[in-house]
Amino acid sequence: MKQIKSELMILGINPILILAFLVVVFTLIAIFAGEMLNLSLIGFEVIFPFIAAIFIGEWGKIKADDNYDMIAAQGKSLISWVLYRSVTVFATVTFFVVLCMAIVFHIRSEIPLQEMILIYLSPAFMLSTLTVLCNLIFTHEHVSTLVCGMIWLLAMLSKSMLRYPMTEYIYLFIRYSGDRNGIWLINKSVIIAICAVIWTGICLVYGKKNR
Amino acid sequence: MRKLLSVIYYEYVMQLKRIATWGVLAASVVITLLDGFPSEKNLARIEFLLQPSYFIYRSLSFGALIATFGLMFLLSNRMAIDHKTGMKQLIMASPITKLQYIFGKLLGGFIYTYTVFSLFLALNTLVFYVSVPIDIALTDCLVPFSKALIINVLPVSIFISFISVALPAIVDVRLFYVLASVLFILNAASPDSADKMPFYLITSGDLKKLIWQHPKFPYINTDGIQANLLFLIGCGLISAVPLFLRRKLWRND
Repeated sequence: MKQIKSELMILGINPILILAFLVVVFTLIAIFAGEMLNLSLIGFEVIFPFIAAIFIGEWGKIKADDNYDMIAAQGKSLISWVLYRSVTVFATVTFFVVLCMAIVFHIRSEIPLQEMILIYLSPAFMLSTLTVLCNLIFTHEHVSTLVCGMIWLLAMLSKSMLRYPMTEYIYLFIRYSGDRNGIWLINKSVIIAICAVIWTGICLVYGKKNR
Repeated sequence: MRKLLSVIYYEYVMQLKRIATWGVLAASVVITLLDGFPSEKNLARIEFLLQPSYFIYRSLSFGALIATFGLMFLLSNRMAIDHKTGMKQLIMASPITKLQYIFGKLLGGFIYTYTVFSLFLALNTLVFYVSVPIDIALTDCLVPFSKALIINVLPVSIFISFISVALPAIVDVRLFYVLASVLFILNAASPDSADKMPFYLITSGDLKKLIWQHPKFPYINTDGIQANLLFLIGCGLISAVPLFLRRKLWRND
C-alpha cells in the first residue's frame, strides 16, 4: 500500500488533469456526435486502450526513468517495482475510463456497461503489456509509446488482414471491425492469455535480476 | 542567416543520425509493401495495382500514415531535449536570437520530415518499378512520384513537423500524444471514398485524389482539396505562433 501511495505521488497531478480533460471531451462527443458514430466501440476498444498504453509508456517509465540506476541498485529484483508502477498507472487510467463509460452509457446506451468494460480490458491489457515490455528494453524516453503507437495504428489499418484464417482470434479490435463470426469473447480470452504468457516471461526474466 | 542555417543543419543531421528514424522508415516501407507489393496474389486482390499512380495513391493511404505517426513522435521532443540536456543554456549564451532558434528548429524539422517522407515514397516506388510483372516506362512512375512530392509530401511535412516541434514546447508532451492519437485514429478509421473526404485527414485526404482517380468517378472535388490543404498548412503554421509569443522560451534580450 505504501508503495502504491508513493507511485501515486510520483505520478502527480498532470495525468489526472489530462484524464479529466479526456472525460470532458468524450462527454461532449457523446452529446454532440450524432447517431452515425458508435462511440462506445471506437472509444473504448480502440482509443482508450492506446491512451492507457501512452500513460504507461510516459508515466510508468522503467529504464528511461532518471533514477533507474539508483532504484535498480537498491533491490534484488526489478519485478515488484515494475508491477507496482505499471498497475498503479493502469488502475488510474482504468478508473477514469470506467467513469467515462458510465457517462457515455447514460447518454447514448449503445452497449451495456459490462460489455464496454470487457471490450476495453483486453486491448488495453495487451497494449499496456507491450509498453511495459518496451519500458524494460529501451532506455530512451517516448520509444515505448512510439513502438506501441505504430502497432496500434497498424492493427487499426490492417482490418483487411481478417480475411486470413485464425487472424480474427488475435485481432485487437474485433468488435470495432464487425465481428462477423461472433467470436469476440473467444478473441478477448485469447488476447488476455497471450498477455498472461508475456507477463509470465517478464516475471521469469526479471524476477531474479535487478537490471 | 549563417547562424540560422547552422541551427537548421545541426537539427537536420542530428535527427537523421537517430536509429529510430531509420527504424520508422524501414517499418513503414515494409508495411506498405506487405499491403501493396505487386505480387500475383495482390494483383488479383487489388484492381488497379498495375498502375504506378494507384500504387503511390495507396501508399499514401496506408504506410504513409504510419510513417507520419512515427515522425511525429521523433520530432516531439526537439525543444524539450535542449532544455533537459542543458543545451538550451549553451545556445542562449551564444549570440543566437529567439527567431533564429525557433526558425532553425522548425525548418530543420520540416526538411527532415520532407526527406524521410520522400525516401519512403521513393523506396516504395523503386521496389514497385523493379518488381511489377509488366513493362512500365520509368516516366510512368516518376510523374506521379514527383506530383506526390509537391502535392502531398510538402503540406503533410509542414503539418507534421510544425505541430510536432511547436506544440510539445507549449503543452505537456503527453497531452500532445493523446490529442494526436485521437486525430490519427480518426484518420485510420475513415474509409476511402470517391466523395468528399473529411478535411482533417493527414495523408489520405482529398489532396491524394490529384495523384490518382477512380475511373468511375473522374471528377475533382475542389472544395475538399482546398479544405484539406488549408487544414494541413494552416494548422502547421498556426501551431508555430505560440512559440514566438511565449516569453519564457528565451532569455530577456
